[in-house]
Amino acid sequence: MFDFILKGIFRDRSRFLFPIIIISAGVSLMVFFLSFMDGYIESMIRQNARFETGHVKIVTKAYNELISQKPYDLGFLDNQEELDVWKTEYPQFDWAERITFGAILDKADSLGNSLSQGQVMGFALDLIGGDLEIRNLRLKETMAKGRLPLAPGEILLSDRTFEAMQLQLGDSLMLLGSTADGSMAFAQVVIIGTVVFGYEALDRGGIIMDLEDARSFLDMPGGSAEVLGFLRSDSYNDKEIKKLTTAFNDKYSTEDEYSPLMLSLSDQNGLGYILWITDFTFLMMSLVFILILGIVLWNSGLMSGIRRYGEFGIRLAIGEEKKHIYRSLILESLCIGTIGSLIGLLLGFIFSYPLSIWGLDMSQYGKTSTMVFENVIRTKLSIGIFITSFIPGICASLLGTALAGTAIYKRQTSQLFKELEQ
Amino acid sequence: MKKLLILILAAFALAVQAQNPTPQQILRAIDQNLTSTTVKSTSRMVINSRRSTRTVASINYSRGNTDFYTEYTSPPRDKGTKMLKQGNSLWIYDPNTQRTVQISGNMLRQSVMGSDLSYEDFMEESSLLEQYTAALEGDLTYEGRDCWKLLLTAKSNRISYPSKRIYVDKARNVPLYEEWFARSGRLLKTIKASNVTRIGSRWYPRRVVFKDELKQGRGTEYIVDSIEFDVPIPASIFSRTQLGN
Amino acid sequence: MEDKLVVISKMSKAFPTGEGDFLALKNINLSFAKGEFSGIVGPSGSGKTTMLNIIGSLDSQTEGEVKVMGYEIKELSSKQAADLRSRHLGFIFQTYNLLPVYTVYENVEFPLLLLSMSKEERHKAVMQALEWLGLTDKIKSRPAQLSGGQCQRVAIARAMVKQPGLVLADEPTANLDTENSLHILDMMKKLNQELGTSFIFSTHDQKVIDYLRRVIRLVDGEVVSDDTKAR
Repeated sequence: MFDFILKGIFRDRSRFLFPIIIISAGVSLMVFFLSFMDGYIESMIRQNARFETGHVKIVTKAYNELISQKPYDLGFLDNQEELDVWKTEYPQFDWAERITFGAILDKADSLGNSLSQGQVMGFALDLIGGDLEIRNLRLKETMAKGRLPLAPGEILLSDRTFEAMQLQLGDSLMLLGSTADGSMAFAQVVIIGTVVFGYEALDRGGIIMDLEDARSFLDMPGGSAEVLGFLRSDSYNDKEIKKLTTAFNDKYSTEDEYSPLMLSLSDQNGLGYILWITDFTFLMMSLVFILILGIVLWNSGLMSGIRRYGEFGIRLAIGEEKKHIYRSLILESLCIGTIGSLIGLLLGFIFSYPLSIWGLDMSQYGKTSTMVFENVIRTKLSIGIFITSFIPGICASLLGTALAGTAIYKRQTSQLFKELEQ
Repeated sequence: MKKLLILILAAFALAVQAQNPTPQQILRAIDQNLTSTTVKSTSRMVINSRRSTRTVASINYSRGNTDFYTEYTSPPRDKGTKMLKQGNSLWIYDPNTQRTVQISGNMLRQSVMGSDLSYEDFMEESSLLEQYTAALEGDLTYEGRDCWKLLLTAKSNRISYPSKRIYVDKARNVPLYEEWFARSGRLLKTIKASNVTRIGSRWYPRRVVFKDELKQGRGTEYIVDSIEFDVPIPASIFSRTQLGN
Repeated sequence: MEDKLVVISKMSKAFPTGEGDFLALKNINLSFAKGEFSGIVGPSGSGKTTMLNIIGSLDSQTEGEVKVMGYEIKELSSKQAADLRSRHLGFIFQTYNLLPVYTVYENVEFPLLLLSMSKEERHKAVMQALEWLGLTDKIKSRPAQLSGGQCQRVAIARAMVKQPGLVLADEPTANLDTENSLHILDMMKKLNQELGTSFIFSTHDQKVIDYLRRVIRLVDGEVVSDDTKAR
């Protein structure tokens, strides 16, 4: 019977062509959109990881309580030995220490009077020891003026603040803040370059400073506020990372409020929620896809059903039950759904693959390079995307036929038979 | 008979009024007790932060209600740091970079040396009478002393704390407890004064605990080790050139 | 009585209309024996097709009894009715009703797919039916490639392939010219004689009527005559 149905489908172009075109178009679009969205979210998460959360982050328990305020005074002090142990224990990560702090940037005249002042948010990271953090913050790409700091005391400033304070590259300014224990902190800094953060709060007054300079400014020798771990493979698996953080915390986290606490990427900045929302959106898209395509195929099923009343009539006369005819229609739609979805996957792959290799360069559409977003968005093709697109293709086909097929039940058998005579 | 009764009652009311000073009179008495033309003092600030306790010592000079100068003498990291207030301006001098920075705007709300006091608190004019109108809310006994309970309302909206509630020692004209409120009515700071000692004709609290109610921690203790009123202070102390010396 | 394939007694069929029930068949009493070559004859609207539908278990009577191969039509479930049709009844229509996407061979094979037969058995039966109808050279053709007469022969082959006890033919020659009509009728008569299959026609075509051994005349839903020719 199955052979018979297959032959029926392939010899009747009107029976398969439209549904297959619809399904394959839908599935290929789905593959493209999902892979693009997945790529975009992954890029966002990746950049968020580089910019702020790391794939994991180690902070003190006290710091974690107020983590949104970034209270560096509750950070690690002189913890290089501990850090060395973690580095050996978790070689899959590249580690980077950071401190975020607030301060006043003061420009004086020749007599030492304040000419202009700006409130700044300081980002302290290892700029001179290696290029990991330079890559993480895309500093080379996002620099607007000048060069990267090479010597102590050199800092980068938000381009907007630089202009607002009417500064010149090479200007020596005073940084005024407070040390980790609350004393007044002063530092003389030289503006050596400017950057565009692409993040309003930081463009309003962000500075980037070498970690060692910040340690001395904030009186935190060998300390840091946050220790970020970046996976060398760059492929983040939330479940695996959660296992790892639990193991770390079981081992190192104690009653002491300054003992370390490891956070996963999804624990921070509502990224867990974003990951959840992404999954939810994918599910919603699949359902909407099934619904829309189902309705289109229902319609086409009804049209083709009307055309095939003669066939159904003769089949009933020959001795097939309505149920059996309905089942055979479902089987037909399963075949059409499978074929359409497979073609859709192939087309989707053909559309998406080039973008997964070369990506879409958003900067050519006038978007400025920023630290928070990558310029090139790539599609991300995965088995998951193929499954998420394939199943709705089949479901839509089944749904459409299941709805259209019920029309068979609404007709009296004798009615169908009569139609044969017309 | 009726007339007599009215007369007696009126006389009694007058007597009560004579015993109870008006709220403004209480404020004037506080101002007279605590301010003078010049003050020279040495003090220590014991700052109890979440992580540690540290003590910052300083020498302080003030002239009237407007000029104020402080030089920190310890710990080593803060030694030589100077702070000068002239009218509405505040400068800080850092001996390491030998630079003077003016503190203004939002920065005035920052904590001084990690304490529970902000630069703005330092900037406050010390005369209560000039800044606030008072209403008497009654009297009570606080820490064994008979006190007036006053509610102060700022006369101008430029004043940092729109309202304060204070308990004033009736006999010594010293506020022993204060609550400082935001415009919303939220409690921002509490101040507790103790060790009230007689210095000449005045009563002065030698220990004051400031607590920023928005911060964790156990508050900042301000201890006056020595204090002299109305001593001659050279005018150069309150000049900006003094900062760099 | 065992020889009776179809027994109809006091059967009526009413269709609801806007102005009350329309009685399409009235108090019919008939029986058909095995091997009959008979026809229900009458003008359009006389109730011929309705009667054929009821005998074919595609519809059921309103009153009376209709027994086909011993089964009371009114009491059959849809599954039982389908089973009766698939095993014991063959249908031939005026418009052939072949499935256009399938070949001659596949059209004839289709009824056998509903009976659990092996591929070999099916092949044998299909080839035999095509041989009877002289269609062995057309097995790979599609209906669109055949003439009207050839299509109706395929339809007869499809009805005969499972060797049913009874074939119901509704105006089988209405779309055919005289030559083809006679050819088709010859073949059906031959099958009737050789295989003993009973045929009940519904027709008003004189050519068909001439071939019938028994002619039942229906006028306005009533049997007005029932004549059997001498052999």
